[in-house]
Amino acid sequence: MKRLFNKYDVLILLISLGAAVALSAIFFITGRNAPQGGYARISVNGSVAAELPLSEDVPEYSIIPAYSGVNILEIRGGTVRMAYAGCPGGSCVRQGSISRAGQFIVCLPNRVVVEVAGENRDPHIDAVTR
Amino acid sequence: MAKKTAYIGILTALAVCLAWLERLIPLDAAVPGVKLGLSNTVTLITMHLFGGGCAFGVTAVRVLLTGAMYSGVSGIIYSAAGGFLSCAVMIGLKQTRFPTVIGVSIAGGVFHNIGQLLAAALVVENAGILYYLPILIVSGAAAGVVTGLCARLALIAILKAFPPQKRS
Repeated sequence: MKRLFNKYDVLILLISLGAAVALSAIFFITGRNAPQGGYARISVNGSVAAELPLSEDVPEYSIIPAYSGVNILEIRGGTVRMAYAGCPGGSCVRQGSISRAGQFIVCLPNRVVVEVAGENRDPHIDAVTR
Repeated sequence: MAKKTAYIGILTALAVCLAWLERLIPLDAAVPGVKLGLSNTVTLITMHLFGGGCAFGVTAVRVLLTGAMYSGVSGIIYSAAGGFLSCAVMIGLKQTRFPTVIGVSIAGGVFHNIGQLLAAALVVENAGILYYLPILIVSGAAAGVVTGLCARLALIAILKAFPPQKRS
């Protein structure tokens, strides 16, 4: 309780910040050339619920995850955003619009993940339910 | 023994109160999981006064109570993963006697967020959300500095008011 902090504290802080910088550098380099995505893949609880093309505007797409209310997606001008979330936090709404392949929006309470993916390769999942 | 039980009960109640207090502070972040983690001060204080086992116990009860009160079952998974990983790391680091409360707290904050994010990745079955790791490491370290300072101030006051021989 004598000194406020010592060199080991500084070491722990530097290692943490170093790891964060290294990880962001890796993510930045790998994601830099990501193309504009072709469609949004919506998963609920780990399984794909729907895949929506970003080329078509959808003002309100409801996802009903059965946890705490609904999530409503909006697709406009090739970008997708969470317009409404029934969960208490609502951090998925604040995550804003995404459009590049590999970007995603997560709603943890409802276990909903919206990911932007390149092209719609799977011909079996192309139905849009509104 | 009875006195120790009473103190640990008080500490647990304090941890739950701090979790409540923290909900009153609007910390609007786009990234889920960014928070101050004031309850961590109680884990640190318990660890220093009564040892790692008691700190684990206080964390477990706090996670269950705050989960039941605020976040529901899915919230308990995340806070339990974060709370236990952070507690284990902090107990291990404290054993080494190298870092002060602040260093232990920084590591605790960082590993709390790592644990929580890993649990989240498992729950939504999507490794992509590990993308949040850098920002959560930084926010965990920053929160760790704050909670470490709080715990240090509290411990200095507690040790002054209740010297070890008066406590047991």
